[in-house]
Amino acid sequence: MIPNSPHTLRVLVVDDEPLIRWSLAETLAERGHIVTEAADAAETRLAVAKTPAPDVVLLDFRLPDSNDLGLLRAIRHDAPHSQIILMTAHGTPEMTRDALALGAYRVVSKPFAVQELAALVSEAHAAAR
Amino acid sequence: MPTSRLAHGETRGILEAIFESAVDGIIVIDAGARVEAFNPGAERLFGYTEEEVVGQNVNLLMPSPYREEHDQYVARYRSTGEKRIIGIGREVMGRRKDGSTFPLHLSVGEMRVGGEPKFTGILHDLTARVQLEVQLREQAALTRLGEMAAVVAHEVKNPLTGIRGAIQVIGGRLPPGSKDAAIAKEIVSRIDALNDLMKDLLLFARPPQPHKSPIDMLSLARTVADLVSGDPSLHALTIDVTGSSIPVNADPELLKIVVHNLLLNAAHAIQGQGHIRVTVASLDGRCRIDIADNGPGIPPHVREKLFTPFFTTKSRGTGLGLSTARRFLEAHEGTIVVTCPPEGGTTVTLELPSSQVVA
Repeated sequence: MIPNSPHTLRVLVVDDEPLIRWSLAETLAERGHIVTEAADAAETRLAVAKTPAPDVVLLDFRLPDSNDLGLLRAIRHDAPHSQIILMTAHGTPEMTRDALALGAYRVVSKPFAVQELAALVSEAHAAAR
Repeated sequence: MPTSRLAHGETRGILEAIFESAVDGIIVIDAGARVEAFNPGAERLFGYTEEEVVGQNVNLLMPSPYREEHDQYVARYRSTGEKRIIGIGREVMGRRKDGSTFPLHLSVGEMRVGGEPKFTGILHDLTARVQLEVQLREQAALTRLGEMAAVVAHEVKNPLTGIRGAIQVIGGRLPPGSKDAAIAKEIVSRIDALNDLMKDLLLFARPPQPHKSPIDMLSLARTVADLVSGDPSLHALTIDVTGSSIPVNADPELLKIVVHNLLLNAAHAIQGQGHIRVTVASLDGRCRIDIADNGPGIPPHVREKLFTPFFTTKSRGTGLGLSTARRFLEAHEGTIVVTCPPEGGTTVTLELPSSQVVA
């Protein structure tokens, strides 16, 4: 692991389930990324407003204080250069379509393989450049 | 008939014509419950001819226990005058000549002919209405199940995702090839099985809203067959897809799930070894798909329960595959039938309305 190598990304992991945050944070850190965590929409808004903004946000669709695409829209506004990967336990084709139209890079269904999601983080960042 | 505009001579003819032409069944019995008249409407309802019924006790047309109890009802009315159905009418069960039963509404009127009491029953078939009521009840139950499943799915999948992720991280730190690492992998596969159960439940419970588009049934069957044949655990299996290109207007994703489920069932029936034949053909403006295996077939007592949700004979099965398939077919005005031909094996037949070919 080489801190701050060209492959090091700032990743914000947003989920109210601590085990999901922990497993994603561990996997991403092992790959050399710098991870911050948020458990609800309010923490997320604070985290994306900081400079520098995260390169990639892994965003849970349903949070204690958010259950629609409003938070995705807010992140796009506050941190327009951050790539967003939406995670959902119970998505519909309509929700996926709307999220992609709002600028999400990808919508992934829970449960997922953590390694695959970590690879998708790098892919999302590469696609943004 | 004081208010009738008919001349006296015409009245009898008109009444006879009504009796003969009525859609509903009309039956006249005497005080001893013997049938005196049985109109064509009643013949259609029960499958008996008038000659077979006239002179017989009307309880011939009733299933047990009413058949045995009817004489007591008549005797009680004659001794007490207490009316339970006469002048009122109610829903009862009828028994056809072939022994099958059906729901009907019976209203009974009392009259006197030459001083003798007689009773006229008018019978209206309720089969269609009762079937509709059953369908509506099932639909309402499924809607409730769907709402519940959607909530449960989220509440279960979220922690499952956390557990799966954490076990993967911890498992990745265990010595490769160790017993502990193998157990960690086993935990992940158990979690995946639980997730599959949630997926099956959601598919079954969520009302299918087909996004229809013109598709070719033959190429859809081939695509799914290739997918199943490509499964490494089914390498000893061959699936032959034959027939002609039939256009249908349907949701390809829903039909892929149906065909996939049926091919996997067939593959399990022949324990992953042997042949499955898929035939796509056109029949009376409908598209017919036969999926036939040469396995051991299905005993009749199991066959009658095949479409019951959660009924399964597999050690690891949800019992939702066939009931989901039927729901999806019904959403396309289609049908699904399972037969076991005398020469052996099992054939599942799907039928869908085929769409017009646009030249």
